[in-house]
Amino acid sequence: MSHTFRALAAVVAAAALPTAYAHVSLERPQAPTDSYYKAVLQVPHGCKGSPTVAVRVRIPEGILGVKPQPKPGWKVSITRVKLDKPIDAGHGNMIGERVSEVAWTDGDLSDEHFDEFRITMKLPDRPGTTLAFPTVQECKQGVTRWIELPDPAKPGVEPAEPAPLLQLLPKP
Amino acid sequence: MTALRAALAILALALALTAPVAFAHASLVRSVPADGTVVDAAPDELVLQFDEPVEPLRASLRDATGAAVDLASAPVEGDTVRYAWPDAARRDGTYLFSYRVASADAHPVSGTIILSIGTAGAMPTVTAEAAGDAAANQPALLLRIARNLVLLAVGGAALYRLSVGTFPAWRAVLGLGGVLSALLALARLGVHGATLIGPDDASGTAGLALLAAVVDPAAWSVALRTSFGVSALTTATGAALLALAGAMGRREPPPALIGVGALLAIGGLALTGHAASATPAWLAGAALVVHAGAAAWWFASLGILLQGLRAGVAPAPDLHRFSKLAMRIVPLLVIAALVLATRLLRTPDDLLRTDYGRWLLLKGALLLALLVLAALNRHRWLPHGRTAALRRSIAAEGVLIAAVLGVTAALSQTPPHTAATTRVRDAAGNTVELASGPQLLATLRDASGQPIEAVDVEIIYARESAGVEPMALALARVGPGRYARASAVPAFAGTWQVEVRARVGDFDRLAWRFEQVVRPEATRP
Repeated sequence: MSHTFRALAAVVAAAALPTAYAHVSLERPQAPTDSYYKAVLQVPHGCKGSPTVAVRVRIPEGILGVKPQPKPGWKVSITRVKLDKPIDAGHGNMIGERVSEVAWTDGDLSDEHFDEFRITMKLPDRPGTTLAFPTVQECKQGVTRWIELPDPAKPGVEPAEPAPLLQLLPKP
Repeated sequence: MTALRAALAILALALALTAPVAFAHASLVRSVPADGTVVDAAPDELVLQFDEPVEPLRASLRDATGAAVDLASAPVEGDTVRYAWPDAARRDGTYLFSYRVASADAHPVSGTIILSIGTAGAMPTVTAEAAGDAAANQPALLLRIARNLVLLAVGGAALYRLSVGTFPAWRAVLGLGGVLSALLALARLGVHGATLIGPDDASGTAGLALLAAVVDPAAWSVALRTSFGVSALTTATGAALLALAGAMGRREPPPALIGVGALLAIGGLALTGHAASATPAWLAGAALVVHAGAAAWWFASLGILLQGLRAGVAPAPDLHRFSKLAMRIVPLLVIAALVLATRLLRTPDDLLRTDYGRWLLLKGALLLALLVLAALNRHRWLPHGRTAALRRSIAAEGVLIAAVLGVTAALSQTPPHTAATTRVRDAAGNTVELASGPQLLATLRDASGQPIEAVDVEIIYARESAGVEPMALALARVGPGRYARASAVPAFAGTWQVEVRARVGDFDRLAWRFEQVVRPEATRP
């Protein structure tokens, strides 16, 4: 992939920035498959003006090595589930469970402010697929659930409260 | 190459820096008065406050009859829009206020606020036909009664011609009657389409709006896509065949032509209406065809025989043949009626408890009286040639049959409590079955048929063409996989975009999106 093409892609990506801002979304909605990826979840506003007090993200299956970044003023927690079939992670390690949910709670993010929540992870080898990270944003008053998936019958129409999506690109 | 890359990098940076800071998707923070409240008196203004600056696009206010009330244009102060509450909306009752505004990046945001003045009334029920009174309803009802009468008379006359014998002026009856039936069936179709579409703006008189809608091609295309369309076309075709049979001049029309014509004309009735939505459809449909065919034959035969008796041309062989055939056909009519009743009523109690059941009982009583008269005819007066008594008896039977037809018209207007249900399946095989009636009931099942237990369920109605923005109504759990809402649903007759959403976990929500056509009958309280 030539450098020029990458630069052009950056221009296109930059031009596409504004539409993502209204939702809780991933800063980088595309990443190469089978790579290490730092998910940056942007929370641009509260729930109808109410400050955000918790952000909970469900990690889709197939993703390993999940580590959330702690935040001052927030309590971070990790929920794990057993895997049906243990996975060989190389180096002689067998993995018997995976992280299913990551949560930051007991926080206070005003509606006038914006913040990012970061998770590092290892993406699966599934080029061309899209992974969804449904996120629940709890506020002092109310809850916004960013959990809607696009309707296959209506391609191109974005749901009102879409789950943050990550598109897996072919290996470079 | 390096210069190009540098230029692109600068361009990317510039675009990133100038991305609009105002986040899209304004949302309504609050409204004053709030959604769902009951206020003592009409407010001076309705205030909508959003979480970022907005631009009002359109708004509509509808009262309990569905009539639109004009709104003055609203001043905007940044994120707050104030609508002056119109004087025309000061009466007690429930109002639907629909708004649509544009966010900073032109993303539209819309919703509906429900507000009651004085009393918390039932949700506004609006039909295309009613502008608050039943007067506008009459044209459609009269048309329906006229169509049924003419159809049964002509179809019955055709069946008489086939089974009993000729009668004077049969060509005229079949010819003109056939044409009239076909025209009435098509007119009824147009009116049906017009009521489905609903008037664009319910502010004019509903009668005129209905008429205007009949000539709208959209009304016809909608109507043709419903079961009513198939029914009307079948009936019209049958009637046209009968007209053809009558118009064949000196020649004898082939019996098959008359037979098929009568079958289609009467059979078309079974393709829509209550019988078509009962289960199993083939049984209810067959029962209706037999019942209607027998009734048409009886109705027409009496008229023809009475005519003959009055003219003094007492066709004795015809009378006897009619009497013999009646011995077979009338029991068929009764059996078919019983089958229909079991398909349309859920329990025997429904006979007494529901309106439909009571009308059915009345019809049964009238039928009994008819049978008594018919028996007297057959055993007392006919064998002894008592023409005068026969004439009076047949006239009395005619009156009773007219009463039966009236009751039948009432039955067709009354919902028999097999509530209209829609079943939709999503991509994963989960299904929702939505029953609309006095209670809105949603039954959720997963792909293997097990009930789905959801944390919360809501149903969202939208009808953009009527200016009604999406309204979300919450349903409460009433049983495994069953969620209901007690109060009646607001309904403009017509096509609604419906979405049923069921949250089954913190991160999972099932959604089914479909269209539902609400019939005018279903919206009457």
